[in-house]
Amino acid sequence: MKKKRPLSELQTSILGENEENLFTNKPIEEEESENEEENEENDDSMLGEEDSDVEEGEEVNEKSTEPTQHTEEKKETSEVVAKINEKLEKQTEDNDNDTSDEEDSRNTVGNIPMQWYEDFPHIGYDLDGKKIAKPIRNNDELDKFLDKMDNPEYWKTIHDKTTGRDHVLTEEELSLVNRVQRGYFYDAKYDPHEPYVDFFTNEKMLHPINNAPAHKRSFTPSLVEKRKVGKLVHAIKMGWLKVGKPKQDDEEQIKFYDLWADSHSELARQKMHIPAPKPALPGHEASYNPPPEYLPTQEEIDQWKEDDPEDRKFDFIPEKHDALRRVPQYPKFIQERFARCLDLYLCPRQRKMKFNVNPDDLIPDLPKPRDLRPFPTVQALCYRGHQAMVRTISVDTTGQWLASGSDDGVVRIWEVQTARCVRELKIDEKEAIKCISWCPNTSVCLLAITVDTKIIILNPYIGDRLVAQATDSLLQSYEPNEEEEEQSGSKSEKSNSLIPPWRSVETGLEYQDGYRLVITHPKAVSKVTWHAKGDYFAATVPNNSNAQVFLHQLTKRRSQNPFSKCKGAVQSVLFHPNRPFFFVATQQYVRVYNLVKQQLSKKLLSNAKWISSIAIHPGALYKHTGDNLIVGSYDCRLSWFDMDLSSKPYRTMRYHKRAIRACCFHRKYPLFASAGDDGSIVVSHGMVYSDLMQNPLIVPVKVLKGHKVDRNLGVLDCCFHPHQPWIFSSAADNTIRLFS
Amino acid sequence: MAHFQIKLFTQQKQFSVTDNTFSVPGSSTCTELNDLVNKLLSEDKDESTRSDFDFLVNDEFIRTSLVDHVETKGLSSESVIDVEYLQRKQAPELQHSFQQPDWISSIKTTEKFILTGSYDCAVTVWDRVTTKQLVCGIGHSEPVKSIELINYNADEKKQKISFVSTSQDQHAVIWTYNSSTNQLSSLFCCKGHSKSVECAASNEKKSIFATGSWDSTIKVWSSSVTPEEDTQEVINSSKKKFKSGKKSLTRTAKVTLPGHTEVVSALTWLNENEICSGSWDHTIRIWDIDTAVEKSHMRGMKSILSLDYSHLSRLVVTGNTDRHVRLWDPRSGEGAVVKCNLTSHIGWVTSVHWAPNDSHTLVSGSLDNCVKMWDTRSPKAPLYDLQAHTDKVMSVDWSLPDIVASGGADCKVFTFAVNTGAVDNVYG
Repeated sequence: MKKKRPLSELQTSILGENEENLFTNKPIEEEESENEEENEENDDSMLGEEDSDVEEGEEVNEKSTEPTQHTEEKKETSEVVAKINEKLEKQTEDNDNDTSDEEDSRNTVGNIPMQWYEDFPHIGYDLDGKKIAKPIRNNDELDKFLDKMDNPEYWKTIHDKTTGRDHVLTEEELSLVNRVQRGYFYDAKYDPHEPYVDFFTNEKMLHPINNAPAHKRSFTPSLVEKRKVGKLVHAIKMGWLKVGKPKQDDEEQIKFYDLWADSHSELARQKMHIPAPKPALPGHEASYNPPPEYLPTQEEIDQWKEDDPEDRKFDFIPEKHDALRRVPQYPKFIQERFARCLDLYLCPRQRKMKFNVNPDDLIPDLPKPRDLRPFPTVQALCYRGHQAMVRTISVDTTGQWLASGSDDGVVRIWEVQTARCVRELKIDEKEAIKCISWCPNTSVCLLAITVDTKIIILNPYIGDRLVAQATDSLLQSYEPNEEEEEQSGSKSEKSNSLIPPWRSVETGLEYQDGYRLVITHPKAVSKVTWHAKGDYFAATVPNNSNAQVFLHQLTKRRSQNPFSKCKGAVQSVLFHPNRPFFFVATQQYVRVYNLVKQQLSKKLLSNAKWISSIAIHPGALYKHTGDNLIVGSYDCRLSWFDMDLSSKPYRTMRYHKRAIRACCFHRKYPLFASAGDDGSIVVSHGMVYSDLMQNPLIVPVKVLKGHKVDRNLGVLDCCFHPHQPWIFSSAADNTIRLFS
Repeated sequence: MAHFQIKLFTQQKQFSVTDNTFSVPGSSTCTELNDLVNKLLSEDKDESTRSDFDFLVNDEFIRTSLVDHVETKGLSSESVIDVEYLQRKQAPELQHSFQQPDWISSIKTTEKFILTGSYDCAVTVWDRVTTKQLVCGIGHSEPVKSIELINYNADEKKQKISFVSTSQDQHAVIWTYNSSTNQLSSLFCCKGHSKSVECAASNEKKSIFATGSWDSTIKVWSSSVTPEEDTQEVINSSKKKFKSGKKSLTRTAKVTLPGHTEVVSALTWLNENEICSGSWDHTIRIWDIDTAVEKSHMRGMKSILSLDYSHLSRLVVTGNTDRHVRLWDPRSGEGAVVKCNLTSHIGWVTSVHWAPNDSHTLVSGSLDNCVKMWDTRSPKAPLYDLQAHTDKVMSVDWSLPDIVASGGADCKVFTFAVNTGAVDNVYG
C-alpha cells in the first residue's frame, strides 16, 4: 500500500495537469511524452519520489476535497486512473530496454567530462545516490558501419554521453535544429514581422479610442469648493472682505528702483548699525574688598595724583571696605556716565570701506638703482678745517676748486681732488657767510660771497692765471657812464635807500685778499645767485619790506629792484639758464616772472609750508626739454615741478625725516639731490626726456649718510661736481664731504 | 672633507722637490702646504732652514683653503691639481721716515737721493741713506703736483741728476742737482699749459717728457738740459716768485695732444713713441708721439687718478676714484675691458707703481692712509699692507727694486726696504 498510494496520487496530479494542458495552447505532445516518461521513471525508482510526495499530496488533498461534492465525477476519474495505470504498466513492459532522455537527466554527476566514468561499470548516480549502470552495448567500428548502412535513422541518431545511450531526434527536434542552424527564431510560430498596429497616433482622431462616458464627478460641482465659496460670500456679505476694482495704478506705473531709498530708511539704519563699544568690565581692583596686592601704597597714591589723567592706569584708587553696606556713593558716577554718553554721541561709528589692494601693486615699477649708475655711493673725501658750521659751498665750473663759507666768517677754497685747503680768507669777524657762489662764466674767475648786508665779489686768483688776470682787467676797464650816472643820480634821490651802492676795491689789503667789488644792501643778504652767463646776479634780502630781491649787473655795476611789491617773504631766487625767466620762491609759492615782458608768467603751488631752496633742471641748456624745477621745503618735502604739465608738483617726495635745507641738480648726469637736517643726502635719478609726452622718471637711488647732526642741524648745503657724478655736502659738524 | 690630488712644482730650482703626487685634505691652507714642502725639502737636503712659500693654482695665489680656491676657480676636484710654489716675498721693512713742512704730492727715488715735490711749492732733494735734506728749491708759485726724473746719471760720477717738476702754477720746471756742489738750479720753465699741470712722465731714453694738465691737454717737451734753439730767455714776469735767483729759460712744447675732455691726471710711456694717458673723463688713451694722433682708447667707469705701465708684464695699472686697482692690457686696443680688479683699498687709489723687476708685483697708495703691495695673482688680498701714514697717501714710488717710497698728506716720507733676493733668483 505504501508503494501504491503515492503512485495513485501522483497520477491524479498528472491527470490534473493533463486536464489543464488541454486548455492551454502550449504544445501538448511533448508534455504528454514527458509525462509518460516521468511515469515510467517513477516505476523504476519509486523510492526516489518520496521527497516530492508531500507537496503533491497536498495538492491531491485539495483536489480530493472538491470531488466530495461530486462523487460521480470522482468515480469517473478513478476509472480513468486505473486505465492509465494499465496502459503505463504495458508501456514499461514493452519499453524495458528503451531509454528516455528524461531518465538520463536524473544523472547527478553534473556537467563533467564523462570519460571519467569510462573505467567504471556505472555512468553516474541517480537522485538517491544509487549507481546508474552503463547500458551494455558494443561500439566497435563494424557495428557502427553496419548501423550506418542498415539503420535508416542513423543520421538523426546522436549519442548522449551522460547516459551512454543513443537518442533518435524527433521531427520537432530536427526542425528546431534546422531553425537554429539557419539563424531563425527557435519558435516556428513567432513572426518577427507582424504588422504594427499604431493605436495611439499623434494625429487627433475624430472619435475617442475609449468610448467610456465621463465620470459623474467630472460634471457635478465640488462640494468643497461650494463650501469655500460660501465662506467667501458670507465674508463679503458681512463686510469682512471687500471686493472692488484691483489697483490699476500699480500695474500701469513702471517701478523704478530707488537707489538711495535704502540709505534713509529705517532698515538701512539698522543694517549699518554698529554696536557701541562696550566699556571694560570691572576687575578685581574695582571690588569693594580687593585683594591686598591691588591696594596702592601711599607712594603709588601720590604718584597717581601727580600723573595726568591720561597716564593713570585706573581712573580711581582701589579702596578696601569692611562690608558692602559701608561702600560710599561713587563720587564720579555722573561724570563717568556723562563722559560715556559723550563718547557714544560724538564718536562717529561708521563702517569703513575697505579696499583689498595688494600692497605690492601700489609700489610703482621703477628700474633698479644699479641700472641707473653712475651716482655717488660712498664718501671719498672729507674736507676738514672749518671751525664753525659750513653753511654754504660752491664748486667752480672746472670742478677743480671748491669754495666754502662758514659761520665764523671764513671762506676757504679747497682743491677738490686732495681736500687740500688752498686759500683761507677771514671775511668777517662776527657775521656768518650766508651764501657763496662761483661765477658760472668760465672766462672770469669770480666768487660772490654774502656776509651780513654785503655782497663781496672776490677774485681768488686761482686756477687759470690768464683768466684771473683777464678778470681783473675786465673789472678795471669799467668806466662809469656819466649819463646813466646822472640818471641814476636823479633816481637815487628818490629811492636812495632802495638801490644798494657799489664800491670798487682798487688797492690795499682787501685788494690783495682778492676783494674787487662790495655791494652793500640795506638789510642782511641771505642768498646770491648768478645768471648762467655770469653777468647778472641776484641777491635775496629777506626782511626788507618791499625790496627783497635785487638784480645786479656786473659789467655795468648797476642794481635794480625788479619788484615794486613783494608778496610774502622771499626765500630764494633763481635765473632760468637760457630763457629770460626769473624764479622767486616765497614761503609757499614759486612765482615765475618773465624779465623781458616784465610780468608774472606762472605761479607754482608747492603745497609746502615753508620753501627752503629751489633748483632748476639744467636740461634746458643741453636739450630741448621743458622746464623742471625742484623745491625743497622745511616740512621735509621735495617737490618736482614739471612746468609744462601743471602748476602743481608732478611728484612730491618725503624721504627726509627733518627739514630739507638744500637741493640741487647735476649739470650733466640725470641726478638730483636733497640734503636735510637729518644729516642725510638723498640722491635721486631724475631723467627728463626730450619727448614732451613722456613724464620725467624719478627714482631715489641712494641715501648718503656720514654727517653728524649737531644742534638739530644736519647737512646745510649740497652741490654736485660739474663733470663727475660726485656730490659735495657741507654740514653743521664743520666738515665738507665728497661722495663719489 | 674631500681630499685633493696635488702635484707640486716650482720654477725656483733650489727649492724643487721630487715629482710626486700628494693627497692633501681640502681644508688645508697655505700653512699646511708650507709644512709639506718644507718637510720634503728637509728630507732631501737635511737642512733645517725653513722658508715660507706661496702657492699658486691656475696662476692665482691660494689665500683661503684649497677646497674654496678650487671651487671658486671652477676646477675639477677629480683630476690632479698642479700647485706651483714659490718663495714668499719678504715683507718690506720700514726703513726711514722724514718730515716735511707741508703735504708731499709726489716722490721719486734714485740710487742716491729721494726727490719730493710738496704743497709748499718746493722741490726737495734728500739723501737716501742719511735722510738729510740736502737742498730745497722753490721754483713754483703754487703747489708742486708731480716730479719726474729725466736724467739721473748725466755724468760718470753720478753726481748730477736732472728732473722735472710740475705745479698748479701751470708750469713745469726742469731742475738740475749737482751733488758735489750741493746746488739745485732751475734750468727751464716749460710754459704752455693754461691750467694746473698734474703729471709728468719721461720716456725711457730720457730724451723727452710729457705733461698732462687740467686744461685736458698733453704736451711733450724736450728734456735736454742744454738750451735748445726754440728756447728763449724768460722775460721777467710781473710776479717775481722765482727765488732761486738764477734766470731760468722758457721752453715751449714740442707737441700738444688735445683729445681728453677733462683733466689728464696720469701719464706713462709704453715705448719710445707711444704714451698712455689717463684722465678724469674715464678714458685711457694711447697716443703716437711721432704723428701726434690718438692710436686707441679704453673706456672705464671711473675717473683715473694714476697710471703705470710695466714693460715686464705689458699691462697698465690704474688707480681710480674708487677702491679698485685695475689692470688693463693696452694691446687689446679699443673696447678693452679691465683684465683684473685688485680690491682691498677703501679709498680712492691716488698712486700706483709697478715693481721695476717683477712682472707681478705692484704698489699702490690710497686715500685710506694705506700703501699696499700687490701681487696680480692674488686680486682679493694684497701681499702686504704698509701702514705707516696717518693721512692720505698722495704718491708712491718703486723706481728702484730695493726701495718703496711713499709720501702723503701727513707731510711724511716713508721708505720701505724690499728684499729682492728671492725675486732676483727667479727673474734676475
